[in-house]
Amino acid sequence: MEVKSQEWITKNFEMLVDEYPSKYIAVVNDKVVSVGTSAKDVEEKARKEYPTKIPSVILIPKKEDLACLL
Amino acid sequence: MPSLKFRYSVYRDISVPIIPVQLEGDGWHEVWTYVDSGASYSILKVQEAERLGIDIYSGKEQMITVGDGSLIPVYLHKLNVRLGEREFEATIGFSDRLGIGFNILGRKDFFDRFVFCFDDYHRELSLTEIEKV
Repeated sequence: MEVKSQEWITKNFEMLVDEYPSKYIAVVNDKVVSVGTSAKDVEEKARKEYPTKIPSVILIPKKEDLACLL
Repeated sequence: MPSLKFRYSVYRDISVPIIPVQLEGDGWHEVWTYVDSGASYSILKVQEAERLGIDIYSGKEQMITVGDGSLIPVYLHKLNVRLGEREFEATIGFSDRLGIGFNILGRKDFFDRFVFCFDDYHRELSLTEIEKV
């Protein structure tokens, strides 16, 4: 698994929630490589740019989603 | 086997145990999930199925009660999963009615394979594989 992407997402989570609420993003290494509202489109764009990588695709929650009762 | 450790993701004073897993659909894909020990099943948003190349409606339909007491239809599939260096088969549900902002990683096929330790003080989730006798 792409540990670098995962660590980067965790370390930069606050910025991602502020910048990309309710958006899908794809991260490769330490870079957001695509953003959008369609998970499939976001992943396809990332794979075109980095064909040998499995991009880390995540739906960034809204800040209201974070204090939730599941 | 050493534990898998995941740092919580933090937004201001709120920390959330969200972790990546890889799932096999039309290839391997990475999906981020909120680890919820109160959830019986892992349930992903329908958009994730589209990304994985999975027709959700080909799965087994099951009605599941969610946090507000309502019932939602979930379609269960058996998928290959990679978590850390481990690869195994797990039941994964998909729903177009999941109203929260996260995919959910629930107990079935995960909590009987790993001991999950939620260390809120250190903001770290650790998973230790269970040695089955």
